[in-house]
Amino acid sequence: MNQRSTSDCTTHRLLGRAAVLAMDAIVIQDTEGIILTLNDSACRLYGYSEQEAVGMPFDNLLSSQHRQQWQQIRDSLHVNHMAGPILDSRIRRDGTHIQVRVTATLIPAQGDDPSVVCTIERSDAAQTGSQQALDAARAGLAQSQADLDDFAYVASHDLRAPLRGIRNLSQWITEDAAGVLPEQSARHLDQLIGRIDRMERLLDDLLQFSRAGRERHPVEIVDVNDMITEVLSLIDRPEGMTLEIPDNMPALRTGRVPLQQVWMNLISNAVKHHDHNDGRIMITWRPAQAASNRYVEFAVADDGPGVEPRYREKIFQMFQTLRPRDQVEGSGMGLAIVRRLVQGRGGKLWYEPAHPRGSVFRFTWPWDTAKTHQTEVIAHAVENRTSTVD
Amino acid sequence: MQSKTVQVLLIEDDEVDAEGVRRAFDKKHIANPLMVVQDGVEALAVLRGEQGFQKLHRPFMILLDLNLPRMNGIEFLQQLRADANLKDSIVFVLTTSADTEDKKAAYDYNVAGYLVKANVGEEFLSVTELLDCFWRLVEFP
Repeated sequence: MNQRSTSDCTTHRLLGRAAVLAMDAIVIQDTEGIILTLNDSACRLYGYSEQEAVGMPFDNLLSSQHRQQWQQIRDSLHVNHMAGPILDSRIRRDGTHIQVRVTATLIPAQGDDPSVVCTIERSDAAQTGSQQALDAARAGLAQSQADLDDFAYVASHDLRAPLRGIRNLSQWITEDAAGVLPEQSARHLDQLIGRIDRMERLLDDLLQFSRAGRERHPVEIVDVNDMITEVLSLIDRPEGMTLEIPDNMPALRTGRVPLQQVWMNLISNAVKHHDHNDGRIMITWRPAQAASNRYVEFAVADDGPGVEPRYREKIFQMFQTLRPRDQVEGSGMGLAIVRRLVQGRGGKLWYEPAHPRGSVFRFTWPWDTAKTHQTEVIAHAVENRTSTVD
Repeated sequence: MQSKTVQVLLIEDDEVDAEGVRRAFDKKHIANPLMVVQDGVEALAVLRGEQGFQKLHRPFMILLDLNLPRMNGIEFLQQLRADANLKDSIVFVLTTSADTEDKKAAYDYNVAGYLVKANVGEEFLSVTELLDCFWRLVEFP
């Protein structure tokens, strides 16, 4: 005998308990249709207390035209033992009608116990309820996202004022005390001003990050080749560094500014983090591989040092840099901003190692931003959010 | 030319910003008297000669920050334009707010100019030059 098997008595107790806790309404009636017992969900669904319901005819839950039908179902159970699922309606205690899906089973007589009919009933309204809860949660998520954007905006804007004061004061000290200060203090003042510059950049980027979520841009036809040429003219790069771009780059219907920000960040990252002056940066594209053909996939590849596996998720987080800030200019917001811009249009941004060395940053962008459905954007944002949580 | 020196009333609660204006005046060798008050309530008291303040005499010009305690810049403008003795005052707004609503509200109260103070440094010196030219050339009420 299996040591783990429980006694029949325990099994019945556990199953009984489970039935009480079940989400579906469970009603047990005798073969005459008198309710013997019911679980909490049934009480809630029909609006009766347990005391009221026990001993009450099941017919009280039925409209007159359904009573005959139910007698037939009860009778048929003696032959088939099971019926359903049937779409049926019930009358609640307050007189309202609800739709339910019902399965009915006959539990045969055993010893002194007569046979009983068990119905398991699920209300469509309960499903509607959970849909409402989902909608509410979604609205809540959108709201907290908006609050976060507002917070970032206010913080970056309001922190600027005292910082401006600090900058002025340190400049004035430099001006007024230039000849008087010990060499060390003069150097400290320089460093102080350097830190203020850095803080201002952080605030700028924070502001940009919050705008990446808030701002809507007019949609126009954008020739990606022209856009990248323009971006390149704005980026300082070593003379030996080459950029390869296919001559069949597509044109998209999209807001110009956000896409330009994406290219700007990805290309300047590739330049900034390259360890050779004669590095290569390669841009490619293809229709997105995902089920949806509404997206195009771009890639910015380089033959630089690449990103170690353990940092490959971290680089997309806010304020993350992998090198000391005194060596590489940057707030660590670039990829966080890019990811936000891309996700805001239902796209994705991810990292792949290049072979034999280097990094590939791939992102998808809609062919036509105006046709991107909001639900898709939300779905992707939720999916990406869960995947980036530590 | 003005027969009398134009006095400048600066309404600014941030003492570093006020100091910035002072320094810019010094740098440009502007000797016009500069009086600093911290908010709109104090400014109205000075302009009306109330609460123990000596009344500011004409000709004067007001430099107004918008974000102020007690009575902010826009509220101050509203009071100023409603006061028969003060409604012709020349006001320049000097603020960090590039907000279009602030700008519209200020011009609705007929300010002479809306100047955004970015980084005070060099840019502020050109603002000072503008103000200096203004009171040299413009006839005051």
